[in-house]
Amino acid sequence: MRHIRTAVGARHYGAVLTVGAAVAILAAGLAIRLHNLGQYGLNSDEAVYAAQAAGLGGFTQYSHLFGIFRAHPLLIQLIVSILYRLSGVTGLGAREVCVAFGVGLILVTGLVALTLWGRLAALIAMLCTALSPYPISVSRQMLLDGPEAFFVAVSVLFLCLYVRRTNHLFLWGAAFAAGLAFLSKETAILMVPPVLVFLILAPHVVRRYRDLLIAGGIYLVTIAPYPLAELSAGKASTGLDYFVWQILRPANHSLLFYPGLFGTIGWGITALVIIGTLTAIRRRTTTEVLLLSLVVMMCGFLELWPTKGYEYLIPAMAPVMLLATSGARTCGAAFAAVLVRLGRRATGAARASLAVSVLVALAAVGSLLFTVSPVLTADATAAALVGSDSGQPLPARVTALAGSGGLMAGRPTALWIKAHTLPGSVFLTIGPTFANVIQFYSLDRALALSVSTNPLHRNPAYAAVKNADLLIRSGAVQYLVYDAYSAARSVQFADRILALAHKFNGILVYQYDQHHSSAARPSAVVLIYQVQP
Amino acid sequence: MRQFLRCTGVGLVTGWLLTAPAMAAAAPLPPQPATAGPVAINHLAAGKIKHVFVIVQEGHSFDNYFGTFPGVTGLSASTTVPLNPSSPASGVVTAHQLTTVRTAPLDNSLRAAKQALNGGAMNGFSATQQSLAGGSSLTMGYYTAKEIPYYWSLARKYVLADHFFSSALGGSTANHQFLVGAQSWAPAAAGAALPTVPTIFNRLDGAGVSWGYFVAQYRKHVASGLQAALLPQVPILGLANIAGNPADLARVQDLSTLYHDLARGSAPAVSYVVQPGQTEHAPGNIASGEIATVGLINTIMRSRIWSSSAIFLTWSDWGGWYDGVPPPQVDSVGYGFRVPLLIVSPFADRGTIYTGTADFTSILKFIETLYGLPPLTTRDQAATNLMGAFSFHTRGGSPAPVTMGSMPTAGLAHGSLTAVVVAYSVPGLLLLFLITYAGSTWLSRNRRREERKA
Repeated sequence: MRHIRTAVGARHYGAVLTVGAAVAILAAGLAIRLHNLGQYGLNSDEAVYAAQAAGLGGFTQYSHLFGIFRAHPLLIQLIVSILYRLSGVTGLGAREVCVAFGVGLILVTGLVALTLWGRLAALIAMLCTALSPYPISVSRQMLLDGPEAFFVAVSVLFLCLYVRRTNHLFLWGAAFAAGLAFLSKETAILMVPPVLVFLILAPHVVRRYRDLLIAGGIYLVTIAPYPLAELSAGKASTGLDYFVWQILRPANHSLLFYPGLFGTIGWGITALVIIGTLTAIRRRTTTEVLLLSLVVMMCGFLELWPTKGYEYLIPAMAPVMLLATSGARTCGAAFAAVLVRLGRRATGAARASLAVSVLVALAAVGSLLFTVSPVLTADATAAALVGSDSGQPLPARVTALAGSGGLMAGRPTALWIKAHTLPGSVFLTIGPTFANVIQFYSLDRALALSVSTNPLHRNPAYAAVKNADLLIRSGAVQYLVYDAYSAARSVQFADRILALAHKFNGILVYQYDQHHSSAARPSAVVLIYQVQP
Repeated sequence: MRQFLRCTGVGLVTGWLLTAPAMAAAAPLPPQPATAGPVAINHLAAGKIKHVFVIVQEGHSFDNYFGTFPGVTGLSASTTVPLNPSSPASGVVTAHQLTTVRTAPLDNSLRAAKQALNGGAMNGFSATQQSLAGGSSLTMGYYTAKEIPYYWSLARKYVLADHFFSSALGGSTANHQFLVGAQSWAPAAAGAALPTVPTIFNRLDGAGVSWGYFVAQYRKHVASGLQAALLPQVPILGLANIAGNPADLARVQDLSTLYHDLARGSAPAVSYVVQPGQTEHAPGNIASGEIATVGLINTIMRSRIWSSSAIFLTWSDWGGWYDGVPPPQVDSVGYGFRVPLLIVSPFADRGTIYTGTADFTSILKFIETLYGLPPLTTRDQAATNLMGAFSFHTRGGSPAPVTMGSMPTAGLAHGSLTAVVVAYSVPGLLLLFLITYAGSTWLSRNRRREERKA
């Protein structure tokens, strides 16, 4: 080691070591994100985004089923569509694009920490981002939130550089990156108010307000494609429809939903974030105020917004991990101070903080599997509907954290459909979640029973099934699909599907079983019935 | 339901008892037992077709369902029949499109058929229906793709035969008998022994070929003790050589059994399907029968056995409806008026009109040719072989099921790909501008620094 140090030169030794460690962390982050990436099929949201990308790539059978314009902008779908044009439509390819953004998030978070606190802090920030289960599980999915988080982090990086160096180009870069974050997913607009307030209320940061105005212009021009594309395509009402739907959407989770996700970030990292937050409140440096205001705005708004989702918090992840880094530094400094007070030789605050963060990050990884594993239970009501003798399937319910991973049995079921039913067959599912997955993998039309008949209470992209009996009687629907995940969310519609299967002498043509630890018989996660007019 | 079945059963049996003796009396020269040996097997077809389905609906002439189908020998808007054939001045009835899927019943008896045929002049259709509720004009009504879209869709995708005749002049009972035995017979009187008439199923039994006769709601009929009501559509229930043999009787099954078989990817080699209650015979709802029938055909297409299947969908009798082509007289019993025949198979000559003259016994001949069976009577012995409607040299086409029902619509927005690409290229241009601006700023700053140094 000593001769390497001599060869490189004392001045560059630290830099080489940092780069080496950073590359190792990035490699670890990449490996974790790519490990068994295709083990589970796409979930509902992933299927929708991947299908939009396929539609943009010219695969019209996908746009026919899913449409192109839905609730969100299309930047990420466009990027994935280029990949699809080159390699064809695959769920894995889309996820790999998002993994790339996830690894990018690790790097950019590290660069922000480097700008603020130096090399060691950069490594700590990268370590936390790379190994925290939450960003891992989100960036392994074809979701828009991961790339959005990346662009938010890039914007924060430029803002920190601007605060440090006051070069207006960094401010413009921040505006541009914030615009790209918006084009990934429109919720990134949440970062604009705190940044704007911060820049206006910190006169020592903004030297010329003209730069701020130009930055505003850059932001507006960057986000312009979202409304422009819809307007030029003659679909101006689409965005409005979705906005109305989002506003009127009933709450899908309680206020305790996001606090419940602390475990998925890692309890140790959460503790560091709290320490970092307290430190930032006490110190109130310019950049720490910026980070705090971003976290408060994003997390506060999402906490109050009735519609909650597992992945919605990821855009705040870079500021959160930076606060964790600040917390680790505080812990390290405190640990070193204690050692000095005890009369022992101080190991150095930096080393101590690194050790703390390595420990908490490694501890966080352990909770990854625990936090996203689904819970399978027998569906007693459904079992009664299909019969309770041992020859009948035992329908199950699966309780899983929405957005935390794949949909149990979704892909194998859809692939079975593709292999064993005719193109053009129509399926009726309990809810749109399973319908989306079926549509993506099988390219067959799937309707969902739970879609509200009230246009104000349903996603405009979904068709309401006003009369399921008529659809079956007229021969429009040929198959009924029961799945355990949707059954747990919509009990009454699960019962309705089974009742329809019974009423129309449904013939069980497919069953996906999962062995239940506490039951002698396997539970049926998916059942497909063929029905006749 | 039980009451409905009982009423329907009593009505059908009564009608059958009334018409059958008259029909038997009017047939002094019925088809005779066949004299020829087994039909030579078409090995090419036998290698490809492993499952034959014969689906029989009731009560519609060819012109009534497909008279205006493009390319067929059918009718036009100017087709007329006189109100009274013996008095041309009495006026005419013009063919007209029916706009309802339910109509009043028409007389389809042998007497009415003979009067409509009028010795081959084909001008008595209106006169024979004058005493009925539908009046004299209803018989000239016809359906189009608007009323029976799925049948028309099948006809466009597969083969429609436009010179396919019912085997016997008159109603459905005799024709159902022809479909299984190549002849008609008098039913057993109450308490008398059941007659023995050789059928295609006895031939199949002899050759060790599996068969099934699938009847919608059969289980309910059996549970209600109303099998006798099914005799018109399931004539083999009245034959000693089938009903008296438990093994053969067990092959008469509920239609749901066929659906279960298809879901498992299997079916008997020869399957007959009838759907009492959904036969489409007026005053029944034709849409209901159409959906059930095309739904079954779609299910066969979706099954694993589609690639080795041949489906014959036909209607047992004219139903009292007009048809413009005089039926050839091959014997004292038939032919009767034209009825539609749709041939659906991966090997059928898709999108064509089969113009060969044929009748129900041609379907029997097809089965006999597949398995090398002896003909039943002189009728199937001389029948046109429907093998001509197939191309067995091809690999067989993929299934083209009929899209049924109307889908609920979603608010999908497809937009224009060009618009999306153009709009999203704006940030790219902006990035280029920013990079260029940053580069030029950096260069000019460097230049100034160097100038200062210099």
